[in-house]
Amino acid sequence: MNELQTLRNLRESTSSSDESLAALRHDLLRETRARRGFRIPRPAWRLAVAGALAVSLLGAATIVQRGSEPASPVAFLEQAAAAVESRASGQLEPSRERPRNDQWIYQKTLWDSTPASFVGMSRFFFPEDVPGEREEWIRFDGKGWWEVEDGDPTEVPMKPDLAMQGNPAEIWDSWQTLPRDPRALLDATYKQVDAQRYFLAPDLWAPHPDVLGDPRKRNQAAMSAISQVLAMGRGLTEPKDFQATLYRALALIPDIEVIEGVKDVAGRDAIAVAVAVTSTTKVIILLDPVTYDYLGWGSELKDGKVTNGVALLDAKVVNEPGER
Amino acid sequence: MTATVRPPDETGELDDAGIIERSWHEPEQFAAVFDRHARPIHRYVSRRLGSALADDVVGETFLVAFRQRERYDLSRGDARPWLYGIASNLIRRHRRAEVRAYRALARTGVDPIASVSPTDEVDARLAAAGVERELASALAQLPRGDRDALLLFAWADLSYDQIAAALGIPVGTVRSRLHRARRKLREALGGTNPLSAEEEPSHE
Repeated sequence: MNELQTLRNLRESTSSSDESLAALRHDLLRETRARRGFRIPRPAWRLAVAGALAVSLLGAATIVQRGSEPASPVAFLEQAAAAVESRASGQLEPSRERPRNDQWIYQKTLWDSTPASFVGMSRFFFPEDVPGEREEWIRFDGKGWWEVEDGDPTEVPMKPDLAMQGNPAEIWDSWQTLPRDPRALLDATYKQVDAQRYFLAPDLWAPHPDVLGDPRKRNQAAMSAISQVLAMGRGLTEPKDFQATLYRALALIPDIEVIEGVKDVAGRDAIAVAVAVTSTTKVIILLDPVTYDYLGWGSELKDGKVTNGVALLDAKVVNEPGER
Repeated sequence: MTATVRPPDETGELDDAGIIERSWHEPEQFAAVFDRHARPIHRYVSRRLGSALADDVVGETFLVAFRQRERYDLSRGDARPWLYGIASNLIRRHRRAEVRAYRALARTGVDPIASVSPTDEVDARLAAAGVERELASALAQLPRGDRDALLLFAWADLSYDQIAAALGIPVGTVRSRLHRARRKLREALGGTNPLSAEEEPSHE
């Protein structure tokens, strides 16, 4: 018997159950009926999931314990917006020019969750072996993707003619078209939510259909959309005036709250900006208490620490994959 | 989107490309692609990852395929390379779990991927005495691309050309990957018998 026949005999008795196949067929049919014309043409930048995930977490996020007494959301977010604007005008930040197409967006994240924690989401959207740390490099034009495998930066194979959906260049360019007035930006966000689209990778990360017709879920979806933009913005060095507008738009979301003195999933000090869906469920955006930059997101808060979320540990524009 | 009318074959059945084209306007038609190919793909993924992960991967494979159907190359009547290509990309996300299972089989002789029915469990334990442990060790050590090509050939029965299409690589690369992977398996199995090294048909 040669090696090939030996290999063919390995796990030869494996079979697939009719029940499993029937369930998968049912899921596919539901998709075909619900999504006429809907398509995902390209792989997507994973961090985009940060915002959209929250919408799928309806009913899954439980606030067990808060940090200190909540601050005034409007005052805090205005303070945060003014701070980032001031930093920009004071030339304390690097220039915010559009990266070149051949540059790369580096991001290092810490995932604190298990796939089973994310209600209604496929495991496909999660890195393997969460919880864990990940490093990725996405080419600005979406035509390259590297990640650390077994300690070394390694290219992720992609079809050469495809660019990643929701790629950094598309995102950067889409930001230039968004309003810089907070109310107009929030209205544009609601419009996207109502159309079941998001600013980023709209086909992939559409809000859950349950959002429609429920004002509270609509607010949560708007929050998630803004969270997406903030998450991407850290790596793309988005214009600070836009970041400030995003904070001011958050302040306009009804019933938004601020929870100070919490820790993110990496154990860093953070301020949580949260919006409730029910008395026990929220979507949480985490900001740095000093710089007011986006730190990540979460869905549970236990003993003052956010769990079931992602910490953005580093994000920057670099010239080569592997560069940090 | 430009649609062309594809005639059915002599049996009156549309090939995969014809069904996919029809599904552009009648999305539910895509279920026929599932009916044709889901079971062997599920079995293939189950052999690599186990049935639980196979449910996820195969479900996602067909959802992704459905959403990408307007990009399908209608000159390719057989959709298997396309579907196995999507599945291979998704399997890749679980490569550590896959390798862990090979290593567990190599180390303990018990295959965590095997079914847990009493008969299968006995079969799995019997593997401890056989060549499967060496085989599993070799599979665990293969580079990912080599393993993909080898298993698409051995377990999915794809031809060199189909593997090339599935993985988006030249046929020559498929040949070299398979040659390298088979040589490593032979070495792991202690096979110096020249009869065991003869080339298999390439399904071409």
